[in-house]
Amino acid sequence: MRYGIFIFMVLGLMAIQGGILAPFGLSHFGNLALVFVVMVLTISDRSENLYLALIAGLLMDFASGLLLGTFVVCMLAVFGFTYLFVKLFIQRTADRKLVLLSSVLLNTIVLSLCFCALEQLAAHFHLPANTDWHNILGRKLLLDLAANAILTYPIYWLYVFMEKLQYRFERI
Amino acid sequence: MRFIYTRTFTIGFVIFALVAVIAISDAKGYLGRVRDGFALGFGFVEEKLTSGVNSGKNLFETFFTIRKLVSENSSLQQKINELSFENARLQISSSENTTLRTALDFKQKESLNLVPVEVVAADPTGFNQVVTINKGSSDNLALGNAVVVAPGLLVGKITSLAPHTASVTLITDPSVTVAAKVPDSGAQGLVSGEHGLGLSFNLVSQNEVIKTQDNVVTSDLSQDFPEGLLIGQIDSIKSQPSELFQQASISPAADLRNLKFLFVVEP
Repeated sequence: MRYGIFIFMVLGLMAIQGGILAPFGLSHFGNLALVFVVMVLTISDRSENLYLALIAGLLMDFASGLLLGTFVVCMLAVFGFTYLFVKLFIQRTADRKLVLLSSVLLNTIVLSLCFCALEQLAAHFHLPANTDWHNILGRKLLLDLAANAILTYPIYWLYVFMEKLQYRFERI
Repeated sequence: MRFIYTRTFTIGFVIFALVAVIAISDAKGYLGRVRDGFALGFGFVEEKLTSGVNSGKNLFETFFTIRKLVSENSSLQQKINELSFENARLQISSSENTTLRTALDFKQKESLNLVPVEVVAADPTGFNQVVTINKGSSDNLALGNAVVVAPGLLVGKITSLAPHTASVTLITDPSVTVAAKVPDSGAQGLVSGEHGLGLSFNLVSQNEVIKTQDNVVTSDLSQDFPEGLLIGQIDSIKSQPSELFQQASISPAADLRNLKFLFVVEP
């Protein structure tokens, strides 16, 4: 059930970004699905988080129209970074919302760096690639950070809603 | 060596193999049908959301702009008159051009061979400016085909193909570069995207004359794009005598935020 709700949420957030934010010209900045996945990885301490990151990456790959595997690897990097970040640097008593915000912002940077590295690799093998890393790690990254910071708390409410939904299904 | 018997190594190896299989299968085109299915299903939901948002947006826009309509109507009427006059002149020039071309035995310019397509999904990750259309390789579309909004406003080009869908990279994506010219002055340069923020017209020689509101069209030097497709209008110009080239910002002629019905230009 957890997987089903997770996939539904990720697909829903991607549809919101492409279907609702796009007509206002806001779909190019921020990543609703990434914020949600980072939230799941940061808050829940479960063994299946790795598979959730893989599924999210695959869904993002299909939706983006890029070479399949690009976002799978990026989300694996996000998973690895979040795991280390939470295990090594975060105390149990730390403020949850502050931890989420810093995790989202750091993972936005991780995703952009990983994406650039993979696109450079794709270009090396003469595959179609976006090699404009100056822009991705410059203006776009700054706008992504701002947008994701704004989106963190609304998506946190969504995450809490998902937890309640899951709890209700498990009781049934 | 004992490390290879650990669970972490096994999981890591399985994931690596899985990613490699997915990437290679996709590059070879074996996952075309899966891509088709996802694009059509996901696109359906995205399209419903977009049409709902657009109808709400139009309602509000109409409400707020209703006061401007009278003055806008009179200025548009004036523009229609001017354009009708210009159109008549162009028709005469066109027929003269055809006659002269025939006389000089030049190759006649053919009208564009357009295939109508529909946008089914847009990239939600924001890293690339890509939309998915509802026709693919089984409809004789090919990589690199230009994509336009009728009657000839350039939108982008096809960058990946599945049997029943195709990905179109928009001209606002930095990976797309178009050889362009200004018809009024003949100034030539390269147009490239700026991550969805607009277009920039680069490598325009300092001795060429360009000005704001000039139209920019594809030139005959473009490999993927037929000559004469409208790209946009010049918004602002950055020109310093100490620099070798001028640079200009272009606002795209097509509304790239609300793409629905497009045409693929077949060569």
